[in-house]
Amino acid sequence: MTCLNCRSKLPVSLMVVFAAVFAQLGGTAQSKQARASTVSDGSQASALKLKEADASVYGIHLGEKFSIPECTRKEQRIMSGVNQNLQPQYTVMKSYATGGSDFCFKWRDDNGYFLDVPTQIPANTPVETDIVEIYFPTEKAPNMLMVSCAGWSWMKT
Amino acid sequence: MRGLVVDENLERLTVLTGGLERQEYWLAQLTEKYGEPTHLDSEKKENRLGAVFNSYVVSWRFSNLGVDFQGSLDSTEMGSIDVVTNKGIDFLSGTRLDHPPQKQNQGPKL
Repeated sequence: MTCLNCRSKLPVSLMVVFAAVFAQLGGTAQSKQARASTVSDGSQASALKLKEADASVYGIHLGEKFSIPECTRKEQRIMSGVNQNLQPQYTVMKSYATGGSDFCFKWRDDNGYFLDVPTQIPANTPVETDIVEIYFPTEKAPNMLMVSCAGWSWMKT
Repeated sequence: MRGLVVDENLERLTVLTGGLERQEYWLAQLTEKYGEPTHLDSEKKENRLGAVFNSYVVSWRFSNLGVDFQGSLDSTEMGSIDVVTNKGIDFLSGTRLDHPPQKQNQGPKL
């Protein structure tokens, strides 16, 4: 009520000025809205523009069932010392055999590295959810990769 | 090469590259396969001899996967290519298998 009274007392010239200002503000708001919708349309358009890419890397397909077999496990007797009678003492080391002609994978070992065979996972257990190391056979290794202790991951220099 | 398996499906592959020395080669290879990158940037890296290089940080985004290439990592002699599916991205945003949560130090209460 107070406001209406005030408004009614305003001179016509001021009302015209206010009307012009409001019109300007309204116009600005509209233009902002228009810009926002343009951006929105643009992002939608760019989202739609995204293409599907080849989901394979060196012939290994992503998004599909992991079908690479586990690398062959092997046991090695390593001399760990000699006893009191100077007879050699051996320790059995479990590790993965690499150098085959096919891709294979290694589980992380008990320490979280890809060096030894994990003691808690039986051979040929399917991988459900985990990080694995994938071994590249020599003849299938891509250009610019060379072997290292961590597998085919380093490039020739 | 490292693989992330989620629910028996391979969702991420990470290839280590030779770092700054060969980043041009890898960028060319990736551009040939995936086209022009969605994002290409570079950051200054310093090698052990104090020389400063530009290391690429490049990404490609697709409807089914993302590809990230880093010319070098902490070591300038090692870079990485990361190809990850949308499901892999979702998984990684919620879980980090490579950094398992550490047990909190449960000392005596004050």
